[in-house]
Amino acid sequence: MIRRQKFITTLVALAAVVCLPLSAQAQTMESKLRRMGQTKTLKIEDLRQVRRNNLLTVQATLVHQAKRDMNINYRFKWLDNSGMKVADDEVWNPKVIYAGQTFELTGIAPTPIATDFQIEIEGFN
Amino acid sequence: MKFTTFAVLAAALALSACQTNPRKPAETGVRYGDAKGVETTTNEFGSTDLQIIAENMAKKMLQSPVIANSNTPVRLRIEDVRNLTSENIDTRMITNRIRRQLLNSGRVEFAVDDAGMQGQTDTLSRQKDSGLYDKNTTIAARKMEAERFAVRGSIRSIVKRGTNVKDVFYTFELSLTDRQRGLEVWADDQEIRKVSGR
Repeated sequence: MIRRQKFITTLVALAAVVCLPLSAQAQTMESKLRRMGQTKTLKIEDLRQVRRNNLLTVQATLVHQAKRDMNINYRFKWLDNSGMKVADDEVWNPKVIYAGQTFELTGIAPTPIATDFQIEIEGFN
Repeated sequence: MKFTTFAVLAAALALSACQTNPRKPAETGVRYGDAKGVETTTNEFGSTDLQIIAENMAKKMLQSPVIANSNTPVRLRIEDVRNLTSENIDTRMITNRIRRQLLNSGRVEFAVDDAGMQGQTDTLSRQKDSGLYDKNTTIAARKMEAERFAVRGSIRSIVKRGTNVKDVFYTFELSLTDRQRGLEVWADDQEIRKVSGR
């Protein structure tokens, strides 16, 4: 009986390890976005980060899945390892998004101590 | 006992007299706005344009090969941004903001500008000539470090008006010049289009 329980526990743990990276990755991309207003039509397709010249550089690729143009405001928040903000809030950047457009939001950290980020997006018609 | 009670009452009365009475924004018509918010009061040059230009141009400049490939902070001198638009723009605000953004990156240093040079020479002569200072603590002459690169910027605009529409296109250009070689080694721009009307 105990052997059987151990086997099931091991099987569950193994399944969790195999499944975790994919689900965690999908959750991480979306969890980097802080959405406000009407952003349901914006889907995140790709998110990548590199440290270029000792400054964290981020590029998010989004697609606007709708038949109407929309306006967004966006900005990056830069954080350190402990999740604390390392710089003042950036200015909101206004941007026009055309219907069906795939577009990139690119951010460069203002200081080398930034190791993490959040992207704030506010959408409105 | 009576005296104590009287003193407490007097103190409470004095404090209540000093207390301010905060009023709600709805009563005064005054409220604080978001300094980083998108400002669209008119389509003339505004705070959002200033912030977008300064933040984006500073970040672009930090990616230039001259600064990115240097192992030590690059010494720069920044000149006031030239306003070539038809509007009255305080370009010193743009210059100062770009300077702060660049400095905070830790990748560059700025030589004092013309305004700061007077204070620099005043400090040197005060410390050296007044005879009041310990010589071991005074700054030495001929030790200032000269800049190698100059940062120059300008802002221009194209304005078009239709019957019910006004279109303003701003372009802000920033360049980096190697003083020693007399060569422009980097340049980039930031464009902003604002449309107002029905």
